Amino acid sequence: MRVDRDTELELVAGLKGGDERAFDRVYEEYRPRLFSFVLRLVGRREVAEELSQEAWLRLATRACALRDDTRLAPWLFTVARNLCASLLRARGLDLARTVDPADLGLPGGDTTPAGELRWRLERAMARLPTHYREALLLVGVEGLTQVEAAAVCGVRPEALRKRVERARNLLAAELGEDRPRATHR
Amino acid sequence: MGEPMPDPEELMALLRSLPRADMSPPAARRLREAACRSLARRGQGHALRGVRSLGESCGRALEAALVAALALGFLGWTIGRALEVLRSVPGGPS
Repeated sequence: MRVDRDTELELVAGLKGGDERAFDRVYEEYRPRLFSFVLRLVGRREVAEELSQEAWLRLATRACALRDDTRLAPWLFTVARNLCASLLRARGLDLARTVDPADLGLPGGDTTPAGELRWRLERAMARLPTHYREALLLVGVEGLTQVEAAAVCGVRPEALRKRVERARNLLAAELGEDRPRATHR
Repeated sequence: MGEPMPDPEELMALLRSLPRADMSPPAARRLREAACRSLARRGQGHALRGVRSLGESCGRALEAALVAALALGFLGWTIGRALEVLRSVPGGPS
């Protein structure tokens, strides 16, 4: 279920006025999306929970300062992405390289061709450099427009388009190298 | 060997179909409660700021009205005094 623009404007007005029901609706709608995005960026469930909490608390504390025409998905993804970037910068490493597919909601023993392909895709994405991965996650997985994703990443739309294209090529190459195996673990 | 690599369109469709993860229900519930408390506090603060802003506007309007009234009073008093002086001069207005 996606929120249409009129509903989104009502939700923003509700948030600005401290309306709990508006927050609940936004929370239910975006929590799994935001959490999945953060988890795929940092690759650790406990870290993803911590960063997601911080992002939601920022929404709650800054709601009254939102612009009337705020787009909630880009706003939330920008906050979450910046929190992830700060953490990754501070630790000087790319946490997601050892992503656990069980954390991503993938059935561990799914040996069907579709399950196998999804598992390979997750592994291949986890091996992408962060700036390519975040571009692909925002546009490919979360369905943001390239303009919205560019704003989230703080780059020009043209640069974002190139990142997505490059990420897609890298992903295809990674998939080619990561051949199906009999077992996952 | 492996399956054929998906083409770019298939790849994007595959990405869209990836499952979502979510926070554990207790963590999600705790976070919701903390966020709602914070939201309510900020909402009250926002309303109080609105009331204070309205009060400040009214105060400023009253202040301006008072200053204008004082200025008009002083002007009237000055004109009155001037007329009194003029009347006291021989040959002045009666």
